Amino acid sequence: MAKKRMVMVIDVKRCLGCHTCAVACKSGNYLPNKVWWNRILTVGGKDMDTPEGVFPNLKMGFLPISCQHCENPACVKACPVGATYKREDGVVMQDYDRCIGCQYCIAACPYTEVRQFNVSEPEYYLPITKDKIGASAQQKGTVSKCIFCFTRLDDGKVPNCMELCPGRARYFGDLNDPASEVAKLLQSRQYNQLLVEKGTKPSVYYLT
Amino acid sequence: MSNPTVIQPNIKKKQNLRNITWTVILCLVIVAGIVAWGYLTFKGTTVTNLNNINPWGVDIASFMLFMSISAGALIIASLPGVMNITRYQSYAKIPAFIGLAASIGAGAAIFMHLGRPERFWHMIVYLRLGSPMSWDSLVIALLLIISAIFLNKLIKFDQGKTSKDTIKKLSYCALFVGLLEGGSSFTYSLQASHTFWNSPAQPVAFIITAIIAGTALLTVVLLLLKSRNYLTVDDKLSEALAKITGVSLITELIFVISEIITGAYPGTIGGLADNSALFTGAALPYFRTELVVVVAAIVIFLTPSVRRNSMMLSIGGVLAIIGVFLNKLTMLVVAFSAVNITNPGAPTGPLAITGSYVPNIGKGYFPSLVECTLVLSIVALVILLLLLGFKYLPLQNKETV
Amino acid sequence: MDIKHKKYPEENCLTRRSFLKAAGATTVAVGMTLTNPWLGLGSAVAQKNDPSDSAETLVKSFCRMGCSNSCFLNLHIKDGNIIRTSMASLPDERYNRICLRGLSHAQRIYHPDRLKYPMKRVGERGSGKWERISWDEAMNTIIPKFKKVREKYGKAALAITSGYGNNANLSGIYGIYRLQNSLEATYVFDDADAAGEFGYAKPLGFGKDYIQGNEFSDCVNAKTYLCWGANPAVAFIQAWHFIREMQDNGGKLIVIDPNFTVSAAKADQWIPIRAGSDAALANGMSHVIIKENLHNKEYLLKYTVAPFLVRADTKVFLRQSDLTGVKSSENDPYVVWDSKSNKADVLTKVDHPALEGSFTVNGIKVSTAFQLLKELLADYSPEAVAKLTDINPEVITDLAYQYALNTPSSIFSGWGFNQYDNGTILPHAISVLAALTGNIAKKGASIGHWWNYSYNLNTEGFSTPTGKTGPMIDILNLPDIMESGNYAGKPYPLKAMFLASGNYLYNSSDTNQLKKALDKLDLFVVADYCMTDTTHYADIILPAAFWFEVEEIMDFGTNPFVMYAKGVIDPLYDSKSDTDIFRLLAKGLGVGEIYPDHDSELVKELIDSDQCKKMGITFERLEKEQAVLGTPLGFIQYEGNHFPTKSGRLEFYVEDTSPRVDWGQTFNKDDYHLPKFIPPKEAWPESSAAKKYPLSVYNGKTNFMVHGEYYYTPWLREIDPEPTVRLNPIDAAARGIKTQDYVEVFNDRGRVVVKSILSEAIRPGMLWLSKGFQHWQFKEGFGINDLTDTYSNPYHCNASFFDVMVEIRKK
Repeated sequence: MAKKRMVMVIDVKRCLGCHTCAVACKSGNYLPNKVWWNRILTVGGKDMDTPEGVFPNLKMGFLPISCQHCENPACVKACPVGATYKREDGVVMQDYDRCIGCQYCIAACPYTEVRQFNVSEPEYYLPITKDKIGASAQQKGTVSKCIFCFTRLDDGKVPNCMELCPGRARYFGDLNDPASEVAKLLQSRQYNQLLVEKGTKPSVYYLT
Repeated sequence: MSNPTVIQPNIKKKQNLRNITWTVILCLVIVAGIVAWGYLTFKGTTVTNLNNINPWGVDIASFMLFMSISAGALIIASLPGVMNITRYQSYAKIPAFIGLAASIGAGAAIFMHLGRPERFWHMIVYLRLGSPMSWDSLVIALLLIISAIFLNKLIKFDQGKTSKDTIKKLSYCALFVGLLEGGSSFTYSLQASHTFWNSPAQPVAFIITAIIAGTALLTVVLLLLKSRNYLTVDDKLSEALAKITGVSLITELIFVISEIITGAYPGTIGGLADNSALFTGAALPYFRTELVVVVAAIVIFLTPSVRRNSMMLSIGGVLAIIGVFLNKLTMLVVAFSAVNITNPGAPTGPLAITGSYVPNIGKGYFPSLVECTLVLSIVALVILLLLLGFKYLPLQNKETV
Repeated sequence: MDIKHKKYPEENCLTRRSFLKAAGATTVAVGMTLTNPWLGLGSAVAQKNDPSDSAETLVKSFCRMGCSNSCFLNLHIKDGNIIRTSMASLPDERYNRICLRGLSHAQRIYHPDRLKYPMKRVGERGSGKWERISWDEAMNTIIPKFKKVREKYGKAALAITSGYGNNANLSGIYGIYRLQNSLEATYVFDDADAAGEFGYAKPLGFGKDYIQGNEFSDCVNAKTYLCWGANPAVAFIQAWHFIREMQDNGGKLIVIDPNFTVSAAKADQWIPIRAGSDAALANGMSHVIIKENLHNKEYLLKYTVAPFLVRADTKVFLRQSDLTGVKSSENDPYVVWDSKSNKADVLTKVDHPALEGSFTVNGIKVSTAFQLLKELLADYSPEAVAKLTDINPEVITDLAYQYALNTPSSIFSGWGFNQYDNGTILPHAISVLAALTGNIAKKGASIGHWWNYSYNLNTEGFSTPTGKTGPMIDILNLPDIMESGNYAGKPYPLKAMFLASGNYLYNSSDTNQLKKALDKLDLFVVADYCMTDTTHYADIILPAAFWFEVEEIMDFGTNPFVMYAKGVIDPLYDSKSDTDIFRLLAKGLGVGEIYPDHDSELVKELIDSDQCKKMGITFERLEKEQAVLGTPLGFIQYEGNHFPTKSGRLEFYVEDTSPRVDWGQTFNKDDYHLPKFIPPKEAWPESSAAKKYPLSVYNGKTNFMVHGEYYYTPWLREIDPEPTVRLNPIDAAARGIKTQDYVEVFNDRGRVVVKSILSEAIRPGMLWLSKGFQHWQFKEGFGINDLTDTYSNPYHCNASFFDVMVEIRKK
């Protein structure tokens, strides 16, 4: 059987910038305060939710961004202790128990702020939300990031962020399976990838 | 050389008092650093001005400075042996010792930077040789080990217990390890994420800054030791060191200018962003100071009438070291300010600016009090090590003993 | 540096701590509460063994917030706590829905600042000084006082009222109606969004309900889709994907909005319009349609009042009795002009009625309704409209062509325009567009919006269990009623108020006037589950249970499913469900019999409706399935062109222009027969207010709030931490304002200080002021309604939240 390559496809035309997926990620992974693995950026002006151009000739879009699970991940190559590594199916993982907190991966990753450093003992507004995914694994002084909700993948589910996108903009699947929705979409539609010039070969595709 | 000087008892008493005062001050700074480190460890990096955009700050800049000093000093220490300048062989102990002290400083800086310092041993058991950070760690380990062995053998050589041949072999070894500092630059230059770093010339630039830092500190130390009648320094030696420093500073300046031109001319997004960070953005205060300091140091080192004044030469040395530190800090601040994805969104991490939609991007970086204290304490540690070394190790020249 | 999660005023916090001591909590508990207030939710939580020991179970419930999307939820229960919420699948997956707010409910339920026990005010009103009391003490204070007020001043002197805090039926507005009507108490209507509904109801008919549009999923069939005064990409994110599918199907989305909203960014065409001039644009389109002969004459004659003859003297339709002189009792048939025989006759007898023309019948001068419309529209040439709307005449003409020819076309109008004093005119003008082109009552053609106010349930019977009803007054009139003691020319002493699920001081116009009015109450009791601007001003606060702690049924908004859920956890702390609070009040005030012992009985009473029977909704099914279809999918409003008007036709000529609420006000009723454009009261270049204050301000809805809800949800505050004002860089530059400055927004009525954000999306001359934050979250000032006016339009009687002029300056 061919090796899997799990990818995410996001139709930016459908993205409303509503931040639902950002909060779904935060909730589903029980992320500590101020850690956002998945964020919605505005493609437009200098502030969030502002357009580019001059009234009334304006343009505004949104860019959901999280770890790009690169095929050639700069972070994996940078990590001196192998705390960040790639799974068989292409998911770039983060081993919080091994991470020494040098933050070299943050320096190496070209995708701004997708890797986040747990500056202090993780704090939760709601301590009851601690769970085996994320929360208990989150550790002070280590780096964390989107892990494509790998435990959910292992259970045959999709990542939290795409369980319900109100705009129905997200797709997830195995790109190496030509019958998958993602493979078909990438064949039929034009897409962008972020910072391809950095050579990372990201696994998040943005339909344009 | 000159005759040994008879030290007047009252002068000696005064010097002792001064030494004790300095030692106490340095110890206090180190204690402040330990307290700051404890605070940092307890509170996490919330007490620094570092964040997910600027993960590295003065801690890494000071690590890079001490690496430079250590490597540069070791290179200088190797020269009498390698180039067969017997006249200065006895002086080699001083830079070798500086190299040792600075490598300890560098180690302390990187240790203090780690989010999980207690997992330092992971660097041994889980070491991934593919990571430039691992190479960097190996270089620092080699600098520490080789400078210690080299120093030991140099002292023994003075005492006639080691052969000239061994010294020669070790000198080559020291030169090699010193030049490995160039490889240390791969930590930065191999990261395509930051255009400002991503240049094949970085190893050369690193060796140049190492030579500047090494010779500059050596000059300052020699002048101080000379003024304290610890040893004698002939004018030729200080002239030679000053020329090396001066020429290296010019080379560094050429690198800096070349970086700016390379960034600007093709008009690539990354290059322009780097230049904008340098000239208008977050790095401007550091970059401006770096330029002033480097130019001033060049003037001092390369103007014969000025450099013959010991005071001016010492100032030049200090300026050159500050210049190297700022060069390293600028390198970090520029790279981290010129972010690849500048779109606004919800901020993350400790510096998530509350009351604002604007993330950390473009906010620049200024070290917090805790960070400054930590850096100063490492500087103090290195100075204290030097003081103790000159007091308790047989580092004086044969002739002066 | 910790997220600046602003707390309530300090006094309240102190009270909370002193309570813990007073309540004899162990030192451990106190210490725990102080170090991490979130742990205060119950010692069980923190002291359990390893939380991963026990499994997580899923229970279904639903979201009840005022956004109308009504999401079906999974509650993740662990160790008896709701640790998070997620989307639950509905029988039709297209309706699956959840948003960032729905995902953060756990943070609301267990927030340390939730109201935990009854409290009475011990300082001045609004001083924030409270003392814990028991439920007995609370009821022993409230009941005698309410009784006394009822005895001394009459039953209407007590107000039992609510706001928009809960869309479910037992605890929400119908639950309140049940108590209020049974006690014949006053209900204070929180006038908002009434202008638009009223504007549609006049030409389309009140019918059973206020729904004008087809069920939302029908929009995929439209070829031209106008979003008018609506930003569904933010306000209706759950329904948005239908609009996107319409675009995928080749339909064209046109957004008409003064500002560049997310919907505008996603549209095929954005038409930036001067705020408050919308009706002029609609009239301009109608002008073009008639001028270019694009109107559907057959439709006009068959399904609208176009051929009806309007008397020039009385402005009403000519009837048979006007011909015969004999007043017929019930159905006095309408009269039209027979174009064949050139005489007037009753509608049913004429095969070819005249569409246009003015005639004299029995000495009475008459014109066809269409003739009058045409005469009115003569003034709305694209050039004339361009001056009012600031839109290029070619764009107006093109828009009219698209609407009339690229069909079916729909107009989805939201609530933006109805926040202006002329808000009732646009719906009327849109009805004219639909009448002219026949773009209504069929697939892909609809106007207004589809918004279900529990129409599938027996709300009428539920609201009046004893057959008695209480009076209703409007909150805009409250300051005057309290000041003068009179309403509609008669004495109206209002002395005590019980408010549940409402936040008047946040949601209603002119906070300062409203505070003065509330100050005159002898007793002001508020039930809520968190501190709000209004509970802060109460005399007694009753802690209500949160949604997931009570049994509920809901049939609301843009979700066609009737949903039911049992209480999943017990009411936290010393809180009680709204229904239990109503029970206590009903019992104390002598109508205890309206509340059966079990809430399930109330649910059964609600589903005892024709529609529920038709859709097969039974209590057993609700218990089992929890979400059962109540409105048929793809439902077409007015299908077959049956309009619930007096004539059964689309009455674009409004015969009866009586006001929505009559309190004896006078105004020119003739202004409202046809959609004559009237400029907004304040937010218009020529208004008197504009001379002093040059900028108009409107409340900006974000995804991080719903009205005043979610203001304290920490995750949402991480993204959107404090109130902001967005303004165009031109206006900012003129005042030396930069992004992130603190600025003061002010007018004669009040002021607020907020942070500025420069945005080209905002039309020059306008300000966007973020909605939802409570007064202690503002740097200075009380809130956005410090700036608004209690002026009530005499025709539609609605708050004009956007019809406000202000100035802004750097703080």
